[in-house]
Amino acid sequence: MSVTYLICKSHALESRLLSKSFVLELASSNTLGEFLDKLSQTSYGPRLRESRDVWSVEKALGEEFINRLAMLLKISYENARNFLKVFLKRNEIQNLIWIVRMKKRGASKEEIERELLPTWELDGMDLTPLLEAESLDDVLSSLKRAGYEELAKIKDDVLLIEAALKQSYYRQVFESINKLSIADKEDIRKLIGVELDLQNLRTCVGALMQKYSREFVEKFLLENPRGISKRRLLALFSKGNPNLFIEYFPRYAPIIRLAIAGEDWRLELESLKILKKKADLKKIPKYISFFYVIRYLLDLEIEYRNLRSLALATYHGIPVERRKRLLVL
Amino acid sequence: MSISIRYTKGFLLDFKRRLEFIRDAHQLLEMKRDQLIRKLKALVEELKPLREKVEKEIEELYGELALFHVVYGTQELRTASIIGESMEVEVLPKSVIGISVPLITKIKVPEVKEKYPPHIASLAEKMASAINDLIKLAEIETSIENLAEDLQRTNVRVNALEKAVIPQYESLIKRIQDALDHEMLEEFMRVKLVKNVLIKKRGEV
Repeated sequence: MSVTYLICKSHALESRLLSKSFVLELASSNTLGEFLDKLSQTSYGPRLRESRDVWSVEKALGEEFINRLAMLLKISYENARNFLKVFLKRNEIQNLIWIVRMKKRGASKEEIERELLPTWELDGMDLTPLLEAESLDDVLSSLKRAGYEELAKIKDDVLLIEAALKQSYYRQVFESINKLSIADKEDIRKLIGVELDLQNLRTCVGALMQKYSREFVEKFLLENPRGISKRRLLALFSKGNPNLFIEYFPRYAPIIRLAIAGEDWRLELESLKILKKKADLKKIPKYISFFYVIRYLLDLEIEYRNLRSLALATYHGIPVERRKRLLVL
Repeated sequence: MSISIRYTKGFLLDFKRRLEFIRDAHQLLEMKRDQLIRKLKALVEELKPLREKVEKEIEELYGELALFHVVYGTQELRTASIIGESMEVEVLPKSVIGISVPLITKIKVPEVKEKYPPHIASLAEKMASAINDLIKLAEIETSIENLAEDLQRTNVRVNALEKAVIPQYESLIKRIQDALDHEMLEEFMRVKLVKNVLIKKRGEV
């Protein structure tokens, strides 16, 4: 199978994503039951059959999300497959972060297992040794053996481990992009660069508002070869004025303003909106372009997050109008 | 309450002593009751604004927590909530007018600054501040509960002494006093009668 098949399949799969109007209709559900009834009419139906409460719905949505990613991985080959495998590791990283946090608090294998997304279906690492590890040190040793070299000097600081895992992920992603033999490599690099910029700016401005030290921020900023450099961010951080970030990076002004206002949950949504806008507005000259695959992956993640948000918002009884504002459309 | 009584002077004196003691106790209990009411009033006055503050704080916090949950998902919320260390408190009994009320001392206050990623830090800080207020609220509410319970008991005692025990003793003392008076009058009459009889007999002689 060629990359062309993968791209064509992504086009086909993109058309199967839930429409904006349907997602808005889901948002108007008065109860979780009503939400489930509507969603069960779609391709999510078989997965949701057993779901009764919000927790099982959330789990089912996560499983379906990973299943759809795995399907894409199955039809990819060679370099494209290697890249996708690395790119999709973001979900594994998320699992690893959760494992590290829970291991630090001495959670049992069963407790941790309940929280995880089935990322092993994405050709990811076998998480069993991590779950069975007796301490966080054992988890760290296993991760170091698995190739997370950024963890080499880290002991048991959960936040440092999280930052190192993310750093390791993005390093691997940039390395694997270089190995791709496609024309639109640079577009993918730029999109990932924007994602990193958003993360770094959130870290920087958030830490500035929380009066965190420069040393702390330095450890958490991720190297971005296709965006704002770590050095530049640190220099601005040292000036201690969050408004300077707006002045220097006006294209990220909405995010920076939210970080200054301390609206952390909106930051996540706005970051996704910016990424989606960036991907949607990208003018792709050809129908056969690998960027479509990345765009589909982003759209799929957004759909998963939208559905999860709606299930949880319905459970919390958040008013319909507010629920709609929690969506990335 | 049944009290076995004997209509004797000694018994009367004993009862009068007991009544005096009960009246003293009643007065003391009344003083305790007034003091408890004053303490309770002060605590309730402290509780009202604190409760309003905590309720508002918790409501806002739950709203924010719900939004965090919705946006980041259950796993992120659950695992983020255990990043930091736990708070340790010690609950020691403190005596207020002889009543045990809790005194909550924070042994270990977990650090929030630089212990959480920035996107969680502000929520964690708000949560930590709310927990401090909740501890204070719990301390005041438990104190109020304990004091109110004791006030109720004291009130029952004061009322029992005022409405039952003291009147009963007063009536018993009156009964003994009446009986003794009656006995004295009888004795007097008997003596007078004997005296008249004796005078009559001497006259005949």
